[in-house]
Amino acid sequence: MIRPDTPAKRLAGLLLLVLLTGLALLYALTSGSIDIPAKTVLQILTGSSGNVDNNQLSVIVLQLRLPRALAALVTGALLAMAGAFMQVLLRNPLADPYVLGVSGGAAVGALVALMLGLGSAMISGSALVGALASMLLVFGLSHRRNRTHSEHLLLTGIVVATGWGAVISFLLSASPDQQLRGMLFWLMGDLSHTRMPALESLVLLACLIISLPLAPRLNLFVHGPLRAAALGVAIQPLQWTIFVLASVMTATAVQLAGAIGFIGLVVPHIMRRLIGSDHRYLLPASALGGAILLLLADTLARTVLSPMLLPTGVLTALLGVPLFLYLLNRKLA
Amino acid sequence: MGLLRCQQLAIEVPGRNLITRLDWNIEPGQFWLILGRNGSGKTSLLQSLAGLRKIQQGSIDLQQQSLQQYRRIEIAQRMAILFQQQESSFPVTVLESASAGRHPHRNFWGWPTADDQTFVQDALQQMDLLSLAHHSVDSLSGGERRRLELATLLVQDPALFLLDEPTNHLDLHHQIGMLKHFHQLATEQQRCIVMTSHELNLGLRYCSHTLLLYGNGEWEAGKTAELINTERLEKLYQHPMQCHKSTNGDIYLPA
Repeated sequence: MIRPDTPAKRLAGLLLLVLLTGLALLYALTSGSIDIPAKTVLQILTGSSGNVDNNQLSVIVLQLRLPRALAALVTGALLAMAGAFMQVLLRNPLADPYVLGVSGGAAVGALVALMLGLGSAMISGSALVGALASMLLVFGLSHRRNRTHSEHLLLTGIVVATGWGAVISFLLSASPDQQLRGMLFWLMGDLSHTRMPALESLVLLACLIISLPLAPRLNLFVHGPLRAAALGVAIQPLQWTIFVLASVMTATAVQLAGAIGFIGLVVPHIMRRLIGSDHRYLLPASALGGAILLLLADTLARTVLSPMLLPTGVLTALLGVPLFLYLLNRKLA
Repeated sequence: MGLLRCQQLAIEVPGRNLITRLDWNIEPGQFWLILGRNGSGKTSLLQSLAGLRKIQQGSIDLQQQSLQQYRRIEIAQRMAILFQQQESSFPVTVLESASAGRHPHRNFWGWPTADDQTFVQDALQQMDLLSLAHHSVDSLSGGERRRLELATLLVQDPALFLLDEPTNHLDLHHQIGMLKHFHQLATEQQRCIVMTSHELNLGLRYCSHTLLLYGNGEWEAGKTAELINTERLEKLYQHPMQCHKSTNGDIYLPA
């Protein structure tokens, strides 16, 4: 008898990640310019603190730290899951959510809004429009072919992304100096202007639910489109579903927090090493892993050089690079 | 009644008509061998039969209904195809890879069920892979990977198997084992098997029927025993052949 490929270990892994997410959230809410004890934070969150002294702390936790922490969680989860989708869609381990130009389009939208001196809601909206426009452009250009080849989609996306890169360089060089800093922060990814991510959470939840029936099909798709088709997967609809899902998730993340790099590329790889390649576990694990990594990075970004605030994007790579290199070179049991 | 029926089927690649006006019936219990030189359209024909390649002319009917009217999942419930090329991918275990064959029989959610395991276990045992069940596919040799792909097809449990050069990479013991097993599936369970191969003598020994593809549009189909002779093989391979008698039937060798 072979023992069944027991999912118990993987489920335990997912539970552990949920637990770690909770701990990371608690850590983020306790740290900052004032350190608030975990017990007080929990009291504030559960609404059980009748103490008057806690009113000021309550404002800090609920109105300043919580929105930012939740934004980091949602953004990280969206980006990591989008990265896992892109890697399987393009069947390329180097793919990330930005490879097909979605972030480029978003950046152009956001930078134009910044140049015009618009408010943060308009910057988000403009970034979203740019991201979706870029997605439709790549979609339209690749869809003309009868059968979608991963290479064709990849090349179209990369060329479109390069085009956006040129527009971004132009916008940066044409902008007045006082706006450059804001623009650079946006490009590196920054969570300092975020609000409560209500809609974004809904997008994440919807994508997680849609991914449940997709996951077994993705497991077949990694063996190549022909093989997946021979096993009964309708390839074209699957490819477009993944593409649209990944793009919408990326656009949602980018309009919230700017072009935070690295999470989408590396978290799926880290999770593959920890929990395996089965997308039924890999997709939720990536979402949780991305959430944890970005939340920790963001918390460090606002505390290490306090009172100086670093852009979040800088810290994600500083944390993620050593972690990934360690896992990559670790001897496999 | 035929399981699969081609009428006036043409297989073309740019600038060449490989097969023209193919009328071909595959009946339950038949084990077909497709012979032909390199580039004579064997793989293209198999992929057309599986609905994975557009056909320019003619029609293919599966169980008396046009293949184009089936959804992919319905085709996969009825036929399985072994591809010639092996593709590398993200790391998976032997067990996970073989379980993929159950996908056509799962519900919309596509999640594995408890009875999947019986199929997977039997197929891995059949292909002599049981001891490697929890190994990564990356760690397998070429022949073991080939056997894993065959096991995945057995897990899929279709009425029709399309095998593109299944003996490639297999050692002679596993070649015979594999051919015997598919021969049994044909004679005992009335499954259909269509196999391309360059292992001429092994194929002739196990296959009840043969389709010869001459690569210029011409083709001939019939019972192996009636169809195969030195002249036809010389015409097929454009090479002088010798026939030797043996206890396992005629053996053909290139002169």
